[in-house]
Formats: sequence, structure tokens, C-alpha cells
Amino acid sequence: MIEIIKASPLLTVQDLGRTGLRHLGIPQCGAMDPYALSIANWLVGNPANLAGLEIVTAPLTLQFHQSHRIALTGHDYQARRCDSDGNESDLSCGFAHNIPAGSTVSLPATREPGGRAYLAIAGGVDVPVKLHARSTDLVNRFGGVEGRPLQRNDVIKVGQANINTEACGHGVRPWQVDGRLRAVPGLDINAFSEECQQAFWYHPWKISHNLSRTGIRLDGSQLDTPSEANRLSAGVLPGMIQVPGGEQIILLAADAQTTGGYPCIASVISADLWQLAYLQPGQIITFVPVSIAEAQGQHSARQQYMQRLAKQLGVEDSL
Amino acid sequence: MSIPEPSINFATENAILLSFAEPRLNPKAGSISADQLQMRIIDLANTLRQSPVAELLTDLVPAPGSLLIVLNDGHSARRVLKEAEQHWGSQTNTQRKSRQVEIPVYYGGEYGPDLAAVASHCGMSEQDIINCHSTACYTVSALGFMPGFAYLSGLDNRLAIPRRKTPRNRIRAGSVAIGGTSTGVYPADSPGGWHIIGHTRLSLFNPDSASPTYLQPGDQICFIPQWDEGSALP
Repeated sequence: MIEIIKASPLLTVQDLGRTGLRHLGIPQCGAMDPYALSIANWLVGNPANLAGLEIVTAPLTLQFHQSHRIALTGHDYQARRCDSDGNESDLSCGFAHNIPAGSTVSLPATREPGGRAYLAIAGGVDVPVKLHARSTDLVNRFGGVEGRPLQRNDVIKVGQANINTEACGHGVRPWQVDGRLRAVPGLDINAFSEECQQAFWYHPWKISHNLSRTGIRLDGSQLDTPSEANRLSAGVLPGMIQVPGGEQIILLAADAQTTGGYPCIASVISADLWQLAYLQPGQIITFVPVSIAEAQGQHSARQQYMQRLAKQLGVEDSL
Repeated sequence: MSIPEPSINFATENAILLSFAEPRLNPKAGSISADQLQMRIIDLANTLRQSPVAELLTDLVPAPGSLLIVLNDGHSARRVLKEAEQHWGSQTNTQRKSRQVEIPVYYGGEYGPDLAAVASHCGMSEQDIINCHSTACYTVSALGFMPGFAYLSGLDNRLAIPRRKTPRNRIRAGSVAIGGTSTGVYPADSPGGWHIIGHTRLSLFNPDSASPTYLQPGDQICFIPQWDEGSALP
């Protein structure tokens, strides 16, 4: 059992999300960086898809009432462990750590926000499965713990850990966020003038303060959408970039609704979508065009990399 | 009867959008109606879910006039499209019999605060609006916007009304509303700009159920007027 002593905003339970339900209007949700959650799970001997905590910011303090093996991935918040005798130690990111009963794990307040971190626990966070997943859907208020962010005094149950796995001694280095998001041309790209297309690609876009798990609004150039681009609503997916008109564009994220009618100028490739977990207000990013074939190649390369990594960490698992 | 061929485009590297020209916008002698086309799109999605390529698919998302096919890996696009093409070509009239669903609605009064405004805009009495709305038969073209929210086709065009100038911050779950040429039921509390004409006590989304949404694409629905002390009088 793990108790939340100090909760940071938007702390949620997430696994790899829901699939196969978009035709009912049910969004994907799940970890914004699915690779980081998978790796954290592997480090503690879990399958990739067990639920962990998605941390959006610090400070955060957790009290461990039993001993558990944990791993932190994603942004490094310089987490520390403090045992019942008051001995402190660093918890390096990307490694598994044993936390004895009675210890606390703290992520101290930081002046440098860097995005999301993932905490996996051997056995996984045990919340009821809702529609095939344990992920919290904050918009529609289900999954996770009562469909809401975790709060002070919440107690998290932990599932049965896989006792056959030894503590993994390997570490995994986090990937670097470079703010260059590769994207394939969107369905409506030809509805935009040549000028608008040029203003979109390679040009700087600034992350606005309006960002959430549903989508990220970016400020940049005015992209005029011709009236014929007003089309019927169609299925939309995380990664798609919508242009409602005006000087903001919307980059859809994990919790995005399943249909939408705004013109879609481009779509961030699946191999780069994890970067959305780390974008911060004020940050400048650019969109780099790639072909469908190249994007598919990157998707395969990422899957193969993850499979190799799982093998190296001694886990028999597939994403 | 001619069946339109879709235009096929990658929506992302792992998703294909089949989009069909709206028969209404593209009238041709002997072509199928928009509702018939939509039923075929929904049938295609249901058929693919049972087909040998089902394991390659992450999601199949019908929307009015389109089907988004989401693949686990975009490299299987050709194989999935071949399967889809085969079923599209061989579909006879709608293969599946639609489910008939009744939605009991309390119209007007405290349940439908905008009924009077809709009546005055349409130049009809409140009772005419209720009759008109509840005698039509609607088809669920697709679900989207939020879990369990149905895009319904079949609204009598005399009831079309522009959205409210000031959207409400909160429309309560179960509200039956009209916006533009559409009508629908809000499954959960939500902001919205549609005109609320009534309320149903049915729960349209339940994440604890194995079939979480009350409505599914392709359902035929009708609204059944109910009366109590809070509603409009019969």
C-alpha cells in the first residue's frame, strides 16, 4: 500500500490506454509517454501494460506502508528516498530501487519544469479495470481512482509482484526531447495555400498555456483555412494537428475526443508522439515533414528498439 | 443502384480514412440515399471486425460519410484495404437488421428550457415541436464528441435552428437538444450551444457495463413523449 502524503496537480493512474472503443466515442487515454511507462514497468519486472503513476509536476511525497520495488522514468525530478530511520538517498531515474516499508519517496519542488515522469511499482497499481484499461479518463471521469487525479490521503493498492524476477541492475537512459516533431501531411493539407503550408512547416510554434492531456494549443502564424475545408466531422487521433482558424493550432493528445471537424494540416508521427509528454508552455517547437513510408519505417524501428530493450532487461514481453 | 466508391487517404501513417461523397451533394439517378450509404459504412466496419484482418486493426471509427480505419501498423494497409474492398463490393442491401431503440423523453417545462424559443423560431406551437420531434425516426450515423454521444440523422428540417449565441457552461446529462440540423442527447454534463427541448432519464454511457454505450452506430431510434408535473402538458 502506498499513501499520498503530498499530491502534485494532475497526478493520475495510467496504463497504456484503451483501444477498440473509439467508435463508441471512448478516447484512448493512457500514458502520454507510453515508452517511458513501459520501460519503468520492465525495470521492476512488470509487463509493459501495468498501471503506474503519471506525474506532471513536483512536489510529491509518497509513504510506503509495505516494501515495494519501484522505478522512475521520464523527466528526472531528483527523487529521494527517506527510510524510517531518517536516512536519505537519491533515487536515480531509469533504475529499479527497493523501497523498504516505512520509507517515503519525495520529488522535491523544482524551478525547472520538465514534463512528465512515470512511477512503476512491481505488481502495478491495482485499481479496477474499466473498459479494458486502468487508465484515468479525466474528461469523462472514469478509470484510475474514481476518474480523478490522486489527492492527499489517497491510498494506492499494489498488485501481486512477479516474484521470479530479480531486481534489474540495468539502467535505461531517457531520450532527449529535441522539439522537432516529425509529421506526415494531414488529410486537409491541400485545402491550405502554398503560403500557409510553408508557414506551418519548419517555422517556430510556441507552446501556449492551454495544454492538457486532451490537446496542446500552439501559437504561431495565422493559417487561413478556405471555406471548402469546412467538412463533416470524421474520426480523429492523437497526433493530429487541427487548424480552427486564427493564430492557434491544436495538437491532439492522448485524451482527445474521437471525432472532429476542424481541418487537419498534419499529423505527428507515432515515433515522436511521446515528446508531447514533456512540452512546456513557452517552449518553441517545429514540425518537420516526412513521408508516410518514412513515418511507417520509424514506427517499426521504434517497436524493434523497444523489443530489443525488453530482451536486454530480461523481460518476455511485447508492446 | 449505384454505390459510391470512397476516396482513400492516409490520415496518419497508421490510419486510413475512407471518405464517401455525400449522395445529397452529388445527386445521381439511382444512387443510394445518405442513410443507406451510412448503413453500408457501419456494416463495413462491423464486417471488418469479424474478418481475418481484425487482428491488424486497432479501431474502426465511422463518422457521417466516412470510416477511419486505425491499424496497429501502417504496413498492413494494403492487406486491410483489399479486405475492405472485397466486402464493400459484395455488400448487398444492408445485411444487418438495425436495432430499434426507444428513448422516453420529458419535453418542455423544467426539462426543456429552450422549447418555447425553438417553437417561436420555427413558427410552430410547443406541442407541434414535440409531435414533430417525436414522430420522426432517427438513425445513429456515428458516435463521437464524447462517450455515447450519437450523431442522429432524420431531424425534420422545419426544426432546424442555429446554435445559441451564448453556449451554456453546463448542459446536464440526459438533455435532448437541437442544434443546426441535428438533434441529440447529452450522455454526460457538458458545456454546449444546442437548444434543450427535453430530458431523458436513460443513462447513455456507463463505463461499468460491458456494453458501455446505450446507443450504437446504425441503431434506429425514436423519442417517446412522457409527462409528469415538471414537463409540458399533453
